[in-house]
Amino acid sequence: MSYEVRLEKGYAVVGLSGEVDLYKSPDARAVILKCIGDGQHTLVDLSQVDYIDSSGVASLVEGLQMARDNSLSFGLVGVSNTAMNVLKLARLDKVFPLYASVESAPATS
Amino acid sequence: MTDRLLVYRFAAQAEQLAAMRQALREALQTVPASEKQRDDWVLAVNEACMNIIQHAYRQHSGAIDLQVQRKDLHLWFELRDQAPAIDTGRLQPRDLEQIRPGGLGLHFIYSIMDEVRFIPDPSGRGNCLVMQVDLQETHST
Repeated sequence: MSYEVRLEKGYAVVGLSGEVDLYKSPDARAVILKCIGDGQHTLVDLSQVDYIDSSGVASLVEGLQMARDNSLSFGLVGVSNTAMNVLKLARLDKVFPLYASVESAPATS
Repeated sequence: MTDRLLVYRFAAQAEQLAAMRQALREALQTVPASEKQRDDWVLAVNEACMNIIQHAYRQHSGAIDLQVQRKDLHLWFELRDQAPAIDTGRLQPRDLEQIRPGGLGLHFIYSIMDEVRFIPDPSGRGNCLVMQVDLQETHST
């Protein structure tokens, strides 16, 4: 797994790619929580994720909860079919705000 | 007729999971099923291995033995370890109404597999998990 962070439309956009598994999810968790800890509205781009397991999903849930606690926006962008399948299994597909693209995410205030 | 699709031993370490998943994906290519179904099986096996690494071996080193067999219209996934025996009574999927990180692995396993059995080792050392999929049901969905 690799990641990049870019600023777009008032969001920190964390782009994850590859396999987000038990070995790599600590890196994903760290970068997501750092963005939120820095006070940034955050989107996680999952369009390039080939595989995600429960540890990766847990990182996303933790990000959502931390953002809510800090009155920040948090959502997922371009969720790949593979990642969506796992979110549905976890019944989290209705919990996360999902956007087809960064452009379609609401403007930040 | 029993067809052994995979015999794979690996160190119980997080960094070994990607190679295990790759070997499993390749072994499952011959099984008549959809790509999504194969992805689900790989996810379930991976989650079971994660549990062994995190909750059975904990900080200790050890090995995990994965065997995959096709027997008639059933697909069997067997995972064995040499970790201290776990209390299988405590292995219950959590309530998904609670939105919180963690605890999803068992839910994934039970959702994906048709049968899940923990077989205790009489010696008290080691654990065996057998997961089964009904291929007839899979093929028709």
